[in-house]
Amino acid sequence: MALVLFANTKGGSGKTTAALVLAGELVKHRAKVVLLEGDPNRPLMNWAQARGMTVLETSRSRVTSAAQAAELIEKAAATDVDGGRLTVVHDDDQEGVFDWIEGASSWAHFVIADPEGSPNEWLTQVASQAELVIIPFAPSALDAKQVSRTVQVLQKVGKLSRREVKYRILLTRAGAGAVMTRDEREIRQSLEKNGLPLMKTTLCERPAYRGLFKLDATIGELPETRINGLDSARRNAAEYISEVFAILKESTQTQTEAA
Amino acid sequence: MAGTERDQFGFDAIGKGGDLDLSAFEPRPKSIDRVSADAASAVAENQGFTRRTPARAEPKNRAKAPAKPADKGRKRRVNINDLLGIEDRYPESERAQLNLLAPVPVVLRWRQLVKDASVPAWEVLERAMEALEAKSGPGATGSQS
Repeated sequence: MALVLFANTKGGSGKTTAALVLAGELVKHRAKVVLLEGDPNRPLMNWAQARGMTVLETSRSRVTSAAQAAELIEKAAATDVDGGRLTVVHDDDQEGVFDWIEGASSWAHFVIADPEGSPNEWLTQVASQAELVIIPFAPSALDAKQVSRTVQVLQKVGKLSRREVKYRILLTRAGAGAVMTRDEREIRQSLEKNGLPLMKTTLCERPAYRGLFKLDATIGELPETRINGLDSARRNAAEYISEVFAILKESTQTQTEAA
Repeated sequence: MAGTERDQFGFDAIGKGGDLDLSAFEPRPKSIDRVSADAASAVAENQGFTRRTPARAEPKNRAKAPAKPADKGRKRRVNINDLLGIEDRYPESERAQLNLLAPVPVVLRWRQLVKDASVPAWEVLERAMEALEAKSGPGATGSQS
């Protein structure tokens, strides 16, 4: 099982969209996925409930062990419209987040965690266990400072625990046109100059990504008649999942070799 | 969501039969890395990252608990030491708060010491001061000149 965390201490960076695109594409490819939500605004919980899925709320489903969490996840997945391969866990009390991660590891191929866009302890706790942390970054000067803060925190967690916290920066909400804005160009140059790992794929601002929450669907389910530029969005999503998958695979191979 | 249809973007070139090769990510029980978890908590505290407050929805039909009649003459506050049968060595002394900043590794070590000792943190501090005084003589932990 691989745990992927989407982290940014600022809201509106595209964390939830990026998490949902990844989850939807992985499920499409027959992976079992747990979406672990730490955002009190509950966007993923609302999305799942609108689709008729059973959502596990940690304050209502108290668990005392990982085995119990695994059992609940499996039962919830059985009611899912995606053929029992996707479960959403909304963690609203933080106390048992590790039990839920351990429980999910027995059932899922991937756990995708989406915290609140604020400086919060849930984010650092999940980051300490993650195989990959993706930092979504809507390229603006305001967001750049928060990305910098998020990276520093991840580096501190890694240094203190003597375990590398692998992370990548993902540009989101960038213009889909051929011409890059000056801000984006300068930010890319700065990231490169400072050796920060930027993903090759950019999740551009597209109607399809907004449509995920408008129509409570995944990219694969969106109707072509209602969404403009769906083909481009699907290609973009495919490139994105391909890159994430390659990073995770490389990471797993490195861990296996080290062991 | 269809999982078996061919991918029109050629993504099915990855893995076999149109699916990702998930063999490296097979579900298997994973234990939490407690050292990293403790480090994360320490960093969060150090950076001023907040702990999430529960956002629990109050059940709509929850009956109100009946109000308890006030016990006249009953102490409203309890002393935890009384309940546990622990003698308070400073019964007359007021408590004052001690805040200090220290490097994270020192704070982690301190917390572990307190946890292992299973006594209030101030008792661990007191023992440390006594040990210092025993080594260097009374007043060694006082002001230095």
